[in-house]
Amino acid sequence: MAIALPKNPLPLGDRVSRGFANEDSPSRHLASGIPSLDQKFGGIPAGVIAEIAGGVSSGVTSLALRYLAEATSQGQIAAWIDPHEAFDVQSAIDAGVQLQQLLWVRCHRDIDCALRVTDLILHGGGFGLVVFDLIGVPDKALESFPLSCWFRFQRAIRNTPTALIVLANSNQAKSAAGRQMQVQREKVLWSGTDAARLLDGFVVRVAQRKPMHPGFVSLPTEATV
Amino acid sequence: MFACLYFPDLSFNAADLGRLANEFSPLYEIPNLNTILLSLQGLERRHESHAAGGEWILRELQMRGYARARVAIASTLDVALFAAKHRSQAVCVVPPGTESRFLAGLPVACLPLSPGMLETLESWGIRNFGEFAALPPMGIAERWGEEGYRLLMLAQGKSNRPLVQYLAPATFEQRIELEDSIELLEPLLLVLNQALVGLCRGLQTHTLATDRFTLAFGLENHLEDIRRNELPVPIDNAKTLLKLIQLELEARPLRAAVKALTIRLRPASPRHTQNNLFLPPAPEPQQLEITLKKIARLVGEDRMGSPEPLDTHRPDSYRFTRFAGKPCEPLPTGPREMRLILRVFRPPLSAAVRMEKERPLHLRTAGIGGKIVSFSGPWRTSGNWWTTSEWDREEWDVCLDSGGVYRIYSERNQSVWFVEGCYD
Repeated sequence: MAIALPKNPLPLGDRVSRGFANEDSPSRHLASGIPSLDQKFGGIPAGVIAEIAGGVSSGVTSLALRYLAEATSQGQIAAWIDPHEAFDVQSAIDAGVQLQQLLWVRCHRDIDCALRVTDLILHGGGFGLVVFDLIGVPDKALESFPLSCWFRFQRAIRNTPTALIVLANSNQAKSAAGRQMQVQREKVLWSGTDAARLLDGFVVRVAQRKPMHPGFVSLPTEATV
Repeated sequence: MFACLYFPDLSFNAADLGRLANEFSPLYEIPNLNTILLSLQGLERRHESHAAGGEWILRELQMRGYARARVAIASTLDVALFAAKHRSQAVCVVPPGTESRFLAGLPVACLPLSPGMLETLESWGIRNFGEFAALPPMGIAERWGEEGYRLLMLAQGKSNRPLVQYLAPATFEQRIELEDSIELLEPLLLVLNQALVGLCRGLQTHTLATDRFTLAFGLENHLEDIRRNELPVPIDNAKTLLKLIQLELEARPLRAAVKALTIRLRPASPRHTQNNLFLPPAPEPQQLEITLKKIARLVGEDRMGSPEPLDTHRPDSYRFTRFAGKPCEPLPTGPREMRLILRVFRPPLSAAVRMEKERPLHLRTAGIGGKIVSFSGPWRTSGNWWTTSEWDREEWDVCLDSGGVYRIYSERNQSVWFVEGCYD
C-alpha cells in the first residue's frame, strides 16, 4: 500500500520538539522599567529561571528589586525567599515595591528549608515573580544543591506566567537557567567633601551571558538620602 | 385554608416557633416572632368544620401553656393574619367569600401603610378597610403604584400570596464517638475525611461554603482539645479542608489519643468571582491557603507574610501582615532608575573598627575585613528616648579595599561597633 507523503514536509528539526531547550514565551516578558536595559536585553521571559550573579556590593540586589518593583506595580503577586534573611523593607519601599503584593519568607538561614519553600511556591502557582536570594549562602551549602532541583523548578514554571529570579554570587542553575545576567560594579559614587560626604550610589555594568548577548549596559544606582 | 396562630405579648425565637408549628403542619411561615401562619392542607379532613379545627388547635396550644393564644382561620394568609391580630376572639373563622365584609370594620391604620399614605387617607376621611376598599383601583394604582394596589387588595381581602415556607438555618456539625481510641494521624484523617465529605455535601446542597471550621477532640484522660481555624475564603471542598486540618494537626499534634471528635463548619456564602481579564494571574485562594500553611509549618508563622513598615524611624522596623495574594490594577509607571539597596545582617555583626582622628580606618568582623578606603558619616540617629527601647547611634557608610560597601554604626556612649548591612 502506498503512503501519501506531504508535498513540502517541514524540516525534521521543526517537527521534533526540543525537550531541553529553554524557549522564551513570546507572550510576556517582565521588564525592569529601565529603558536602556530593556531595549538591550528585552526583559525576563515568563516561565524561565533567570539568574543574576555578581560579587559583593555589585548591585545584584538592586537590579532584582527593580524587577520586583516592576512586577508588583503591574499588580502581580510576587515572593521573595530569603535564606540569609537579608531583605530590607525600607530599601524595598524606596525601590518602589508594592509590599502588599509581596510574600516574604525568612528561612532561618536554612538552605534546605528555603529550597522546599521555593518548591511549594512554584508548584502552588499563580505568582508572577519569585525571587530566590542565595547571596551570602556559603559555597559549601550551595555545592550540596542537587542540579536536579533546578530542573524541577524549571519544569514547575515552564509554560506558566511565573518567572524565577535566582540571585547568587556565581551561577548556580547551570543549564536549567534560561537567562543569566552578570552584574559588576564599575565605581562607587561619592559627593561632597570630608565633613559632608555622601554615598550617592554605584555605577553597575549589566551583561547578559545566556543567551549570549554582546555588550553591556552601564546603569547608575541612586542611594536614598 | 390557612390558620394564623398569634401569641400576644410573647416573643419566641424562630427555632422554638418552628418546632411548635411543626406539631400542626409541616407547611408553615413565620412572619414575625409571635405569629405562625399554617397551611391547613390535610388537616381539614380530621375535623368536621373549620371552627372545630380552630378549637382543636387552640386546645392544643392551651395544653402547652399558651393560654392567651388566638387562632384565626381564613381562605387567604393575610385575612387570617388580620383576623388573629385585630379580632379579640380566641378562635375566629372567616368563611370563604366573606373576607371583605369581615375586614371592612378594621381601622385603616392596621394596614402596613407608610406615614405619608396614612396621612393622605386620613385627610380624605378614610378610616377603615371598607372605605379604603371602595376606592377605585385604577386611581390608587396611578397615585401609589404597585404598592398602593397591593394594599387595596389587602383591604378587600383579595390578596392571594403564597405561603413562604420557613426553613430553619442549617447546621453543619457532626460528632463521632470512636469505639477504640486513635493515636495516629493517618487513621484519624480517614475518619475526618468521611465526616467532612458528608458535611461538605450538605453545604453544597444548600449552596453554601464554610469560612470557619472548629474541631473539638475528646482525648483520653478526660482531656479536650479545641482547634478553630478561620479561612480567608469560603471553602466547600472536603479535600481542601482535610488538607488544612492535616497541616494543623501536624504543626500542633494532639496531646493524647482521640476518643471522640466533633466537627463544626460555620456556613457562609460561597465565593462568587469572575476573573478579570485585565488583572494579572494570581494564586487560586484555596491552593494558596494550603501553600501558606505548609510554608508556615517549615519556617513558622512569624517569619512569613507581607512586610509592613512600622511608624518609627528606628532602622529595620517592620511587622508581618497576612499575605492576601490578590492581584490589583496596574499602577501607572514610567521609566525608573535603580535604587541602591541595603542587604541587612540580622542580627547586626559585631565588629572592631580602628579610628584615627575620629575617622574609621580599618574594619574587622566575621568574614569581612579590610582597610577603609572611603567613607561618609557620622550620621546620628536616635529615638524612643522616652521608653526602654531607646536607640542612639552614629552611622557610617564605608568602602573597603576589598570592594564591599557597608553601613556600620556604633552605639553612642557604648563604643561598640556593628555592621548593619552591605550595599548591593
